[in-house]
Amino acid sequence: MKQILHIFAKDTRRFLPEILITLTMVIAWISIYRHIWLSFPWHGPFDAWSVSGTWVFVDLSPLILLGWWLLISRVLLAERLVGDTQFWITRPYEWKSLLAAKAIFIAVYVYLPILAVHCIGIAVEGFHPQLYIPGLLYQLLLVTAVVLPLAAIASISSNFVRMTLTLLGAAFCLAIAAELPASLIAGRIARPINIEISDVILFLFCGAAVIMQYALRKTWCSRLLLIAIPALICTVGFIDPDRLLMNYNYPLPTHDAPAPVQYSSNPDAASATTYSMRVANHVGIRFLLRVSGIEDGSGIEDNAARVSIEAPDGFRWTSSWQSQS
Amino acid sequence: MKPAIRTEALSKKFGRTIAVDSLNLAVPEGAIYALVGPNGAGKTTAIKMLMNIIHPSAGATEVLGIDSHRLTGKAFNRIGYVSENQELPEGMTAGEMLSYFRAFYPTWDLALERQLVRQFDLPLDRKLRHLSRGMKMKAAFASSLAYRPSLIVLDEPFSGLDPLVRDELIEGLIELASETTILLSSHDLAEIESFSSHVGYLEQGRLLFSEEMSVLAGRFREVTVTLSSPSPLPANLPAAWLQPQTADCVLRFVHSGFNEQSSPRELAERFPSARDIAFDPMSLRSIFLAIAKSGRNRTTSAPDSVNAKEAVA
Repeated sequence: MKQILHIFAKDTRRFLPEILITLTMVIAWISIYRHIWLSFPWHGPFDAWSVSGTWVFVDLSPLILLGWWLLISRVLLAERLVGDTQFWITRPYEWKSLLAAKAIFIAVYVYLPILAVHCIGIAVEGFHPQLYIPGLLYQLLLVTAVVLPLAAIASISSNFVRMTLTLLGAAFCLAIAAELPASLIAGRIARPINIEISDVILFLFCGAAVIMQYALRKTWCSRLLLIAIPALICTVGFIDPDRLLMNYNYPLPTHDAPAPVQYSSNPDAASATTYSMRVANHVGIRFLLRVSGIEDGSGIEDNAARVSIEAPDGFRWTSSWQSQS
Repeated sequence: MKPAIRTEALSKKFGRTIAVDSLNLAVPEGAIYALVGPNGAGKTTAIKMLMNIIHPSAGATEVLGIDSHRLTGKAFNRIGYVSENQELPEGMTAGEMLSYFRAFYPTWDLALERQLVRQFDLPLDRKLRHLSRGMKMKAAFASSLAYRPSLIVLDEPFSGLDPLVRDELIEGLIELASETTILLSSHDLAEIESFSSHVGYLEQGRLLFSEEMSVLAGRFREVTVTLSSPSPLPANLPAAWLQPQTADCVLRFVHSGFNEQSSPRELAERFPSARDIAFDPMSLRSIFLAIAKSGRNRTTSAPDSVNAKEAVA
């Protein structure tokens, strides 16, 4: 524990300017956010300042990410894991202590400020933060989706420039891996299970790469773990567990098991809305439906749809599940 | 006595290149062992394997009784390592670095630290990145000696330093030599000759010999045989005679297996008509030049050449 705190204190002293810049940005971000929130109609008359405030708010988010990127890369590269000339590898550093010190640094200077400003924001609005712990934890989980890949890439990089290039390459590969299955498999749908599995893969593999790198400093093994992430996410996209589970959970209604609600054609509503499809190579077809059979005290949430069209010549086309969001 | 460092058939390959080839090394406790050899001989690679900085392709190493694979964390409480290529926490001042490292070592001797700072004239308030190479080396030395390690490993520590700094560092090292084992690598023979107790010669990844300095100095002699008449170079000279050459009536060679008792008699028998046979001691530099210039295979197979284990025994 002594060693952990010693390394943590050293990093805090050394990276004080970076810490202060990041904290300032987080505070500015939440202040502007709150100002916009208070300017919304339910809080009184709309404040023209919020227009410029919105612009700054939008612009500050990437700056915060940039600040975290700088802070995390600087602190991890201070005792870099790649190479054989670092001062610390022949000193009595325990890898667990080093990893813990870096984790505490990130927890204190990245997670804690975010948690604190959210709690303050909730409290200022008259709510009790304790009632929103799951939401707050979810916010921290979202931060982890940024922090953990950054930490993993920093742990396999020998310097800031290489880390930056690796980060850009990784972002590109991940985007391709996520989009490729959707573009090759007809139809798009919000894929909550796919996304959850992809997140688990990202978290597990990034975490494993960081731990392996700190424990063994076998950079190529850690790099292979990170390279496996886009490959696995792409594979999950092709397997598409969402589709399999949707078909299982939502089978076509039968005589014995009718649908809980009924949809029927509603041509009367034709004049109520206008619709135009503006996507190239697509033909827009509008279905106006009446929903009935909803039990008293119940509601329905329309998340996804799947359509079958049968032509007069008997040709039948069935779409994949399409997101309604 | 158990050696402070022991390697068995230690090898390292980088692709097809063999950097270290079946190295059998034993550094006795308390020795100042100089691992010498030309640039690219494999000295740094060998030391990095000993320090668990890189992993060997084959073979085993033990440092202070610990398998090098397990040399991490607290094991470095007893080892001081300084390398010419080693990075320092450049963002810190020399004082901050010493203060930072102090907390890692239970045996850190504050009085010794202050003495080393005075001795090396270290500017404690200047950032390491602003220090000269010599000053950085002094800071690295101070931070590696102040906890009185049982083993000090130095990889080309004096390379590129001016003579004054080099002498100061050697002085600091010698003061601790009585209580520690020192392994240092160098390609500059003059700098290690004055204070090393043992020497090993590494070339193309192979250890050509390893022995005590006094034994080495004792078994190498520059022999000058003055013959009564001009004579060509005799055939079938012993393998231990390196670089034989004749000029008029004089035959010169380096005897790599010289024995105070037997060699003068053997030479007198071989050259009965010799008017004079002179045996001159050689500097370490001359010895290595003779080895390097002669065929390496002959040197390796020299009858009196001692392998690492024998030298330590």
